[in-house]
Amino acid sequence: METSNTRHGDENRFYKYKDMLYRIAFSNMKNKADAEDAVQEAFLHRMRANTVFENEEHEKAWFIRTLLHICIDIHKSAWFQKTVSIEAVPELEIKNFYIPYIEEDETLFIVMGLPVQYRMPLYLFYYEDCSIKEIAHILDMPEATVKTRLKRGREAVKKVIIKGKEG
Amino acid sequence: MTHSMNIREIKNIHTADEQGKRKLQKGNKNFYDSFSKSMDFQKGEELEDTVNTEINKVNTEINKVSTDKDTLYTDAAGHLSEHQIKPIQLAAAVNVPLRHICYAESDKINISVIHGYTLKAKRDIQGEGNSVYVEAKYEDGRCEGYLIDTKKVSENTENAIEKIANEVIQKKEEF
Repeated sequence: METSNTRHGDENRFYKYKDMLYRIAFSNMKNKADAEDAVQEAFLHRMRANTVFENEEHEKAWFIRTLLHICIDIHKSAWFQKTVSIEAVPELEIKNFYIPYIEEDETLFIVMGLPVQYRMPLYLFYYEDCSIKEIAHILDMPEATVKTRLKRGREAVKKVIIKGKEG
Repeated sequence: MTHSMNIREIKNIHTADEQGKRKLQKGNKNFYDSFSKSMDFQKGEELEDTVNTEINKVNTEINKVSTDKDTLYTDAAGHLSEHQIKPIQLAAAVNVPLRHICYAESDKINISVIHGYTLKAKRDIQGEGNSVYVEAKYEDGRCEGYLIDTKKVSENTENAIEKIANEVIQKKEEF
């Protein structure tokens, strides 16, 4: 039976992580509707799971990892397989995404258009202020790999900017 | 049918044995000589390598000590040469322990994906009101905390860390 404490805990958790999770989901799904679905699914997973977390960081990492798996599942679904895959964020959807503490940034949507192996480390490192150690834990890869992907991702961003200026 | 050896046969065996021993000894000596020579050569090479490595290490350390602070500080403004930064930074910035502030706590954030760093700045309430704490996080995993005395910073500074510190003070004054 659900107690009021657990309900309060879930509510608190929801308000604490919902924005961050929405942004991460959006950066993967590139549209509001799918991002919201993914976040909702992540919270359902959390409510069903009886996991006890050592600390806040652990919980945050669990949420992000679960969300990324949900995003991958949605991408694999029949609906996504049949529709045209979108690499860049569609113009109509740009208004559905903003990061409250960042006033101006030219590279955010370029990062979102990168292949997933660079997109996630870059997005988490620069826009969600995750440390390399945290990213390694979330993405389940060695810290050295995270560093390499950050470096290569940065080079990819540079290339896109140079291409944009030339074209 | 058994075969018993005569004296000659026995002598022949002895001679063959001795010849074999001599050959073996000679061979061993030759092998030992060439082996020790090559070992000496290798040792010499290794010694030389080790000495060179140590010298390089010491040189690197010496360079590191002299430029570490400047390099870290100039990382955030990669396009500027060191001598442009030095006169300002020595007076205005102090390396301080990390306070691990998050984006939400910061007064201003500067994200530069192209240069591989993020800066979080917050006005330092412990100081006289002109100090700004800036936390820099670099792509290679390094994190550095600086306390900037904005009184000592030029208004037209091109250094990213000093610039963000100035912006924080200006923002507070506007409020």
